[in-house]
Amino acid sequence: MRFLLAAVLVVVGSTSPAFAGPDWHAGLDVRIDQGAHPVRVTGGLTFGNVDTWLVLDPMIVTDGQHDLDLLAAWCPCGPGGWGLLGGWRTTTIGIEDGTQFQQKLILGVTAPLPRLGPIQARWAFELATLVVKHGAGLPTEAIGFSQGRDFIDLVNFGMFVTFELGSRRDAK
Amino acid sequence: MRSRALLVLALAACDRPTPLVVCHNANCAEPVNPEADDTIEAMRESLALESDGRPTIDGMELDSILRDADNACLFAHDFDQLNPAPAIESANELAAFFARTGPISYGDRPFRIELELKASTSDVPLKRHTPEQRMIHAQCAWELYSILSESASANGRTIEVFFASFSPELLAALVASRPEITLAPVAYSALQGIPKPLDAETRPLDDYGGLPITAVEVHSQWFSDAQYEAIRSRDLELGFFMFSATAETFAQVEQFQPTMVVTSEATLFRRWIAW
Repeated sequence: MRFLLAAVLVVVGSTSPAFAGPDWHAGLDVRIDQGAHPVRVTGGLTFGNVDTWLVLDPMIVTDGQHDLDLLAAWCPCGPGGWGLLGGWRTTTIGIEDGTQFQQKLILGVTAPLPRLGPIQARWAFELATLVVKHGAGLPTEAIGFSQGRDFIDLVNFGMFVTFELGSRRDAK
Repeated sequence: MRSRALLVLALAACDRPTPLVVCHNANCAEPVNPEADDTIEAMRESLALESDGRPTIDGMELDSILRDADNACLFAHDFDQLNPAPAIESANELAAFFARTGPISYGDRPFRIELELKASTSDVPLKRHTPEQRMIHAQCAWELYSILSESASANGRTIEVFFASFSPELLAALVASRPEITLAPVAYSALQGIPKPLDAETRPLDDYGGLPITAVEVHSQWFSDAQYEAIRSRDLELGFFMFSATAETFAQVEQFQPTMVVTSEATLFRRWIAW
């Protein structure tokens, strides 16, 4: 309860002109491809031209899979503009007697979409490369490049859109 | 009462599909190692996999190549494979497996054998079969079938054999050279992988017109809704093949519910299904 109260105070306080900390944003991460679950919860902070996101996956309850993203975008034209995206996705897949972890490097681009009232929308295109998978007592498998069959399934493209509320009011 | 019924329905909806787990390229023991595809050693290791005291797999895919230089019928995936075994050795190995004590597959369904006939006879330069080579390759495949079906019959095993190819012309040669008497069920399936222009192998389903295909095996991550509709509208069975299963692979299996997955990770898939 105390944690919740503190969180509310931080959120409310960050919207006041007197708050000197980074801007915050939080909302939904939505996609239609199979790279991760279609609807996840996202939130992050903006530090100058660098935006960050932590994406959590409540849809784990549907199939035992969780897609956790830690992403950052460098926006050379200023906060809220287009940017180069990078980050990491850890997918945990529930299997009999254990969990397999699939670790992916995420590279891509992101750009703002027209604002929907208080909602900031962003589009992103990603190249997700499965670097290593491990866990559940199965042998660890890392990506290789000696022939096409080594990596053809491990490199995938995806797109997603975020819809967020936030403290910044000047998004482009 | 109503909420309990809804909960039961929701949980039932979350059940994972239960496709047949077929061993890709006779090489499905983890970790994925494509260099060992279609080798006798990998095949033995794959056949020895066990889950819950039974074989992990429900079937096996065996590839055959007809080498242009000498018309040799080989157990191989690529032309640069070192010292490929004659194709007949792969059938002999699987036939010997049928004589083992105990079950030969995880489930109680017939052991599924996918005999893939590779569509080219050379890769540099790329060569396709001549009409004569198509008949030689088809006869080789029927010889493998004969070894497998006779062993299954002698050992009281139930099997089904699917001849699969990216080449409708090769399937036509198989149909034309089919023996009058067959001991085990025979079926034909089209293969579709990475689309043109990225890869030259995949042909449209219309090219298989007039052939008695009953199944289409596609790459799980290079599969479109239009392909799915084409397969379903022809009332054909859907199978997925893949090299390394990712979250995308599992999502595709959940969405499209293929009859079988042809995987290089049999244990992972078996445990994913059993979750």
